[in-house]
Amino acid sequence: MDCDTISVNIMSKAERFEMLVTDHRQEMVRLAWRLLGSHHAAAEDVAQQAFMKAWDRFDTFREQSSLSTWLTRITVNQVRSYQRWTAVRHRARHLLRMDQKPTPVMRDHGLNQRIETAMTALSTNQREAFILVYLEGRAVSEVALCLGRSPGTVKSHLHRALTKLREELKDLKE
Amino acid sequence: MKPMSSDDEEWLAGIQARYQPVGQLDDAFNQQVRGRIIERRRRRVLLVSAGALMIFASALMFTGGGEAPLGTPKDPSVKSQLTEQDGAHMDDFFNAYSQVLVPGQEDEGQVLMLGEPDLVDLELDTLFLGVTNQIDTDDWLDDHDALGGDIQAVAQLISLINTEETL
Repeated sequence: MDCDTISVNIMSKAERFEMLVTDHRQEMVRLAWRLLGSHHAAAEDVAQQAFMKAWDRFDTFREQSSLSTWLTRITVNQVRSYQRWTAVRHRARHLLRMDQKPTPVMRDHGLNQRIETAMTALSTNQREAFILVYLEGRAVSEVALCLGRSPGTVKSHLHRALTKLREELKDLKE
Repeated sequence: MKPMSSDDEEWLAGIQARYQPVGQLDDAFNQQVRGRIIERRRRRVLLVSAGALMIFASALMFTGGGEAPLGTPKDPSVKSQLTEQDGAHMDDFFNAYSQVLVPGQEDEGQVLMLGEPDLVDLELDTLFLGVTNQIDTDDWLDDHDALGGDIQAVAQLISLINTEETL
């Protein structure tokens, strides 16, 4: 049973939230994983942070969008926050000339690395649009809501992303 | 948006299939989320309490706290305005507060400074909640009503912060 369909009257907040996490954990971790660039530990971390935010705001969810769209928006924002945070840490480490090496990131290798490299070459906007529409299968209108941009802007980012990736990864076929 | 060619669709299916994490998440993930929510709440209480104590100490200066300079939470002349037990609580919380801010303790200090801006964006009423809850003296409110403590509001806030997470 999907969380969207459960009456708020028969389940407690905690029960509904537990079901929300179970229903969407795989989807949100996968989304964070793709947006962050195949970094599994960070993806789980970000997804858990997103669920924490969702818990805080669970009572204010007004069903103007689907739970999935709402969660996606929170997760995308959490990914952006994480990326800003790591960028600040990186700059701080550089400024302070700290000697310690950053914790090595366990990434997936091989073909994923090629895809990841091509994805990294995209702008953040292009990357977000491409992943949400083409890899996560969301509608452009929904992605526009999630990203806080107009559908036309999302389409424009999609077109550029697709052109670049198609060029970089043209030899990849299923 | 123009429809994709079948060639593009095939290519995209390849990317989609390959570019995703391996493995399924189980209920351990839910437990971790639950644990983090509870830990976040504890941390918030700690920070709120610490913030409240700082305001409390500052406010004493304007409400008969005397001539003690501000900025030194453990100033004995500030502490002298409190009961011995309250003073011990202040020590505990200031110690805890400094630990939260110790550079290098990323799970603590970094969270406050970079990761959780909402934690430092706290309302004054909420700050009072922390101190009243932790010091736990109704008399304290009566004695220090010049601080602006609205008994009803504080009672509501205490009730809120005492609410155990049901997760």
